Amino acid sequence: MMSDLLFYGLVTTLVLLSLLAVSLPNLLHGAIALIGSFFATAALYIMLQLEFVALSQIMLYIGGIIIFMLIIILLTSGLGQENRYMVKGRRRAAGAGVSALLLIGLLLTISQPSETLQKATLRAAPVTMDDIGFRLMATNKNGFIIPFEIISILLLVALVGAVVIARRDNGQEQES
Amino acid sequence: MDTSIWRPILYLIGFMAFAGVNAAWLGWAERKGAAHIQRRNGPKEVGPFGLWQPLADGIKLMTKQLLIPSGTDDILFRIAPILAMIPALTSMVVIPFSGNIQARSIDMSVLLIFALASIGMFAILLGGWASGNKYAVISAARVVSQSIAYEIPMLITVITIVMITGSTNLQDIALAQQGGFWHWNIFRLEGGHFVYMWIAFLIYFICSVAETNRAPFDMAEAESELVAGYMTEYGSMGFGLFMMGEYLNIVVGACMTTILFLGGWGSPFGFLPGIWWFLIKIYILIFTIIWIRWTYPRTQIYKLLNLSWKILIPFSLVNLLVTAAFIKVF
Amino acid sequence: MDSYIMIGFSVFLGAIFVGGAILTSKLLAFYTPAGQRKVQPYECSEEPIGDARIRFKVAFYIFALLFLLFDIESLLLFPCMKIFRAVVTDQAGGIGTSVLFAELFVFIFILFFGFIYAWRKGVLVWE
Repeated sequence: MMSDLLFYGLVTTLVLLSLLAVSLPNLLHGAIALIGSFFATAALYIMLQLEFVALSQIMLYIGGIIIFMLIIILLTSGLGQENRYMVKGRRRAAGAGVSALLLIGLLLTISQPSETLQKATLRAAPVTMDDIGFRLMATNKNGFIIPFEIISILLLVALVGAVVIARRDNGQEQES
Repeated sequence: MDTSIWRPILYLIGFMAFAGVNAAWLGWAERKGAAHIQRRNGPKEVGPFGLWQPLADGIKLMTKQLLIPSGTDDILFRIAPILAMIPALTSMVVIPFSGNIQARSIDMSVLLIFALASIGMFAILLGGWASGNKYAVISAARVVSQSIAYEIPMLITVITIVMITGSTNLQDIALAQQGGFWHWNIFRLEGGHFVYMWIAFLIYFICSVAETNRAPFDMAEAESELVAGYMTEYGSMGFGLFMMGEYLNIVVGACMTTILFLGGWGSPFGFLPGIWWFLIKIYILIFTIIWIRWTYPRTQIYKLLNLSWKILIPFSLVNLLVTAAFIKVF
Repeated sequence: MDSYIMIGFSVFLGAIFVGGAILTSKLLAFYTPAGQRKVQPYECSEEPIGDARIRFKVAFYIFALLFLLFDIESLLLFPCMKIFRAVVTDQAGGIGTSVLFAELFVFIFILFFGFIYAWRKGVLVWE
């Protein structure tokens, strides 16, 4: 009962904050709302007893990705203030239509019991940090060693891409 | 209600009171320390040795007008000091002061402290940006580049400790170092870690000084170039909260250094372990931080970034691999 | 989970502390009407010229990306390093020590290669 209340409270907060994050005209305010919604997500993970995932969520998404987004917002002139580029009219309607379709599809998918989903949930069941460590490092059938190494290559590619893109612009930038 | 629910709550309140008292009186300690290092007297009028100075300062701050300058981003300007204070207060909760004096022992307290610390960086970034003041905005840009640069070597050093101890619980990490200073992670004889663990300690300590924006790394405030940096437009309690948040971060940083490297509450000679050793150690560290601030001149932002990216990060990564090799060999 | 509820509660306590401080300040403060010059941003008593919100340098983008990279790396290393000792001393989890060491080495080395690449390309040069 108590945890149900907590869950619905968290979900409501999450939805409201996410709506705020996409609808506030000032992108920095949107980022604050996004921080809140990430915290709500982390709380949901803790309710599922996925503590490592929850703390990673805070560290990575709030401490890393939001900082990254903020820097991008501050890199572009004027986005930190009132946004003049809000999508309006027909494009807004089109966006709403696509989102509605996505929502319907999502609801259809999760409303009917699926065997794959169930299996995946069972497989992901209470995970301690040690479990994650062993699974990431194991070379047998249950192991995730290849994804683990591929992540590092993916990160490398991202870095190389960023270096190539940003270096081209360096000539025109002199502000601090 | 039975006592089982009130005890933890009382513990929480006690820890927060400790944090609050520290946040207030470290300001006094800093002024007094600075004064004596510079052969001055420091605060001495209010009470014996000026001990009531923080109260006077607090009253003075509280009676100031909460002014919001024109051209600020109102919401962010108000949120920022709150964001600076709450995470610092909360991270005190998971720090073990001794084997049984801890508000809450959780399995991943190391990660929780880092997660909370990353929010403090936002406060400064958003506060500086929202101020709409040129000094504050430059300070915000500096803080971001500095914090993100120093968080990496810090994390990697902590991973080294996690690898040695095999736990992410601060309580376990401290317990593994009990009984004499030769068990402390910094001098650890077992496994031959003493050869290089002091490097990890140095890296961690430098990073914790830099993460709390203390001199010689206080690029955020740099009063001779940026007035007061991100705090320029803040007065009254906004300034007070930023200030207390900064001191609290120093306390948390000292606690973390003590637990990770200096044996937590363990006594250096193997007898009488207890909370007093912990307090002695953290205050020695805090004094060292104050001492460093008033001894070394401020560095330049470029040297600061070079130190992190070109020295500390490669060293900490190599240190991690060497530790792994040592554990494998011994 | 109980512990995290307590931590949530301590955030609440912190909020009370902060809110109390701000509220007391509001109640105690002497208010004088803020004139046009009083609310002007501080600029050593010069008239502020132009917008204070300059654009950040594009180099920050790469720093942030490098940071993100190392952040992800360290988060992934946390669970892997936590079990390292158990694997080495007790052969836990049925992983060979040398295999584990090689895996970690490759992982760190690939990222370190990226770091060296960025360094060589002059990303870590400030002037």
